[in-house]
Amino acid sequence: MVRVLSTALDATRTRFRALVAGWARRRQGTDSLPRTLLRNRLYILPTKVAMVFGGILFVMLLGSMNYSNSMGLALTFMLTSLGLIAMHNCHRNLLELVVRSVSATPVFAGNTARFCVRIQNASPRTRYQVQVRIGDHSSDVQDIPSASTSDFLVEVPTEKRGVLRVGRLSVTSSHPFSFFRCWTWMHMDMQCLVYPQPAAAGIAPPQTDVDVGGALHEGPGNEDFAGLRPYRPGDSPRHIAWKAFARDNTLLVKQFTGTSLTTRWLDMEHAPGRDLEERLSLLCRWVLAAEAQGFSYGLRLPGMAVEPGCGRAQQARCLEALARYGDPAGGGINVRP
Amino acid sequence: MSVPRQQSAGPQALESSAIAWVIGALCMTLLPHAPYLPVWTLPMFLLTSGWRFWLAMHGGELPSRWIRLVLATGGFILVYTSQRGINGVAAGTTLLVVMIGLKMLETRTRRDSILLLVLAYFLILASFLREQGPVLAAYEALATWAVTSSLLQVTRHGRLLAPREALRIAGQFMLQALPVMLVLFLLFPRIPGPFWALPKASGAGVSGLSEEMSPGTLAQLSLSDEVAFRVNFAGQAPPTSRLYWRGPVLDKFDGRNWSRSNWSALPADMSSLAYQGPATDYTVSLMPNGKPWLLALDLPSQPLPPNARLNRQLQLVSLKPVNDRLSYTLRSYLDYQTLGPLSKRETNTYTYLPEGSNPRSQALARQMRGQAAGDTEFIQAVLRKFNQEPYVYTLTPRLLDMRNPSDDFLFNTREGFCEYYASSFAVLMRAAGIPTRIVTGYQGGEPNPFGDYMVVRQSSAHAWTEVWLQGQGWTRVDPTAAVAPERIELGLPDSLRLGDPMPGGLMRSVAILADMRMAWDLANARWDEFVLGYGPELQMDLLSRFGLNMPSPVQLVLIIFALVGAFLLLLTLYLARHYRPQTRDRALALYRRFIKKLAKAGYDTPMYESPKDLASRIGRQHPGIQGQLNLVVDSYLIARYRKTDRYELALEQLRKAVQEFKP
Repeated sequence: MVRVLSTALDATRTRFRALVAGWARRRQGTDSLPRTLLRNRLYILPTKVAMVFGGILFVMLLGSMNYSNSMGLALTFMLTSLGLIAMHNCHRNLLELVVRSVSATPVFAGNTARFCVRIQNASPRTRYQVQVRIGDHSSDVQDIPSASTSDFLVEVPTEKRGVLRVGRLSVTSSHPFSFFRCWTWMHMDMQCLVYPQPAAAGIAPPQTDVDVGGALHEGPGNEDFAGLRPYRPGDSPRHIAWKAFARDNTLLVKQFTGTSLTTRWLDMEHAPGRDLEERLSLLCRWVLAAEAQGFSYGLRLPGMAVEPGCGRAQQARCLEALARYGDPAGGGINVRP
Repeated sequence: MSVPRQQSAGPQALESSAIAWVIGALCMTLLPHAPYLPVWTLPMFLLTSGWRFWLAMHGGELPSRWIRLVLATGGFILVYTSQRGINGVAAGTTLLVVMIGLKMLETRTRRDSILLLVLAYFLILASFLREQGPVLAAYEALATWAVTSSLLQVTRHGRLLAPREALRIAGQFMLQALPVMLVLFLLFPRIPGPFWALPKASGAGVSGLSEEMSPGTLAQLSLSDEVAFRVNFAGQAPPTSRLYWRGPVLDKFDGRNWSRSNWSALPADMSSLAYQGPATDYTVSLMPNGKPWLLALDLPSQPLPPNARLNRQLQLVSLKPVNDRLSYTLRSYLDYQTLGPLSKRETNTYTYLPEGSNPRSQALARQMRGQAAGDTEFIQAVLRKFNQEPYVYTLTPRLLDMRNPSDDFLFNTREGFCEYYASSFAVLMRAAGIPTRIVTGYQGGEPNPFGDYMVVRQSSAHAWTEVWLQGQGWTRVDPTAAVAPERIELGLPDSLRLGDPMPGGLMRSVAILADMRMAWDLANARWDEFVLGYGPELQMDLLSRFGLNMPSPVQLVLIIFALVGAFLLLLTLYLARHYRPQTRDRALALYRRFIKKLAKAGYDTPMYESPKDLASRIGRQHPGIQGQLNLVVDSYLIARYRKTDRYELALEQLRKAVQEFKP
């Protein structure tokens, strides 16, 4: 009986939360960053502590009136007033904070995605006990000192590769006394790339796919200087032509050719596996291995290809391609009020 | 890629420093209770909280449920047996303290410590049930601060604040809360209690006159420096010697003790009273005495305060015991006469002496009455005897032989306090067949030089007699005046002989201390009158000054809402100032004002544009204001970037330029 009731209660609560969430979403629209927390988007409600405290205040009021005890009444009114002031300051504590950015570095499936929410406090007062929540996950509670910026890390476990999308986060605080909880919701598309989980090392990419010299004989290597080309993100700073930069104010990269550079094509066709995810995992391992061994490598998936290259940027391009392949949802996050 | 999550102390775990805050706050709130608790209570509390703190420091396990259960049961039984029950303020407080001590041992989580702190607030409330003086109130304000700071600390997640900061923040909140508290205190509808029966203990420990008098009763009271009541005279106060504050009338004598007969239960026959002379109007603010007695200047007239009446023996009594401070206004006539004869039964009561008690006194009375021409002459003769023979007025007389105390006093010890004289005098009168009764009350009062009122302390307790004389009715005779006229003329302290204990001892003998004492009493009086005595009457009085006559509770609540709302609005504005990001650079602030002026006038002021670019661009478009623009921008650049000794000068120039700038 109790279980039935509690289940029904839970269901009602969930539905109510969904209703409220929908209402807030419609009301606030999509947010852009940076976002200042203004009055129209701060919500505040009493907590259980406040309810208990209120009940006790009522008892104290009755007692004091019964004994016509002036000092008892003074104490009761002091505490009542303190509750009111707590509400006011709880609200004020979040007001005009600025959410500057939300970022998340990609992770491998199974690891923890960490959303870093940067919040700025421009005021000359410390903001106490601020916490960021995403769904059921919350950051540590921190005080943001005056005129400074703090990062709040919200850790979300991942299971599947893909794009982990978060539609809403909340910034919350129950300073002081935990009598009230004040919070804001921010609605925007926050993403974290979740790479496939690398397969266990063991299966090496087929050697047939290795191009040695040949067609790529003229391709970029790092043996002999072969000219300059415009800078692309991910190029090693060691190869930047700093002298040219000093002269022309344009970033150029020195190109080399070299026969010792090996280029590998990592092709889904050649990755064995029971299903797509297993093959992507294997490809992921190959990408990591190729990068670790200093190869130049490219990635071929059905319908797309990542041109060969090397370096961290190349690895990131390949892993992103793997993560986004077929654009699956990167695991859901329960967004709760 | 996965870094172990930074381990914050679990969401509910309590650090030892949080425990220390809770213990500290509790100790502070316990302190005022200490003298009233059974001796074992405080050591027990310190033991359990010390144990808990030790566990928090060293990370031990809390005691098991069985140990706690045994301790809790033991504690309850201990309280129940030592306090004979758990009802009443004293027992309730003891139980609360014991249970708080035991709760310490199972305080694991944040929620537990919040509960403890709420109980600490309760302890503060409980201390006010015992006493509400300004010193305790000030102390408890500090205690409230401590508990509030502690609450701020234990409700925090993560590291605690530095103690100073916690105290500062909690202090700020309390200051912010003060106005709303005052509004609530002044305007919250006061419903006269009590809603449920008051525990008897609340009236215990108050001192004052009693229903009985035996030698020594008043002497004891006379050593007390406590305030019995304060009086505000509407006009000139009568001389001290005429201030007889009438209290219980004692007419039943068993040979040793005087007590009240059933006559006191009957109402006075107002038609038998003839008031004479000028009236004296005054307001009495009576301290709780636990008895249904109102003190009044002999003799009050109509109209009497509500719920008060004169009884047959002309004592002003109230319907309920005075357990709270009570204020009432009276009109008295110092001269009056009771008319009409005494009934046979009354005469019997007032002339009764137990068979064979105090035989020597009775014989003396008969002998002296035989020598006197009439009742009046007889009374004069007795007073002369007290005055001329070596009778001594002292607070520390030798003990009397209680078989015949009057005999022992009159013929043997010959030293005593007012009740000795009143009692022996009454015995002599009754032995001679004159109806006599003893009136207890207070005599005199100290005018307070700082406030326009008079203090009457317990040390002014007095006993005198009334004799019924044919044609005159009840007539006051104060035998003490015959022995120690200075007692009546000057008040007690100046009438004592050297070496007698003196109420207020040193305080009276040093002038500056005496002044301080009076000033302190004034503060106490004001506190009692306006703070503690603030009730429905004063509330209505206050509101009527603002043109609100008898507002209903609903109206009061609406006014509260309006005032609190207005205050919160002010607070919002105040906080907005304090939270506003500060521009330390005054030059920059002035420049921003200039930009604002431009923008308001419709000019484009993009953020990326430097001051010089801005000035030249707008100057080109609007040559009319070019000079002004250049002046502002030039002085801004000097003030902001060329911080030389001319900084203040440039700043002043900039301020003027911005002020006068009209786009």
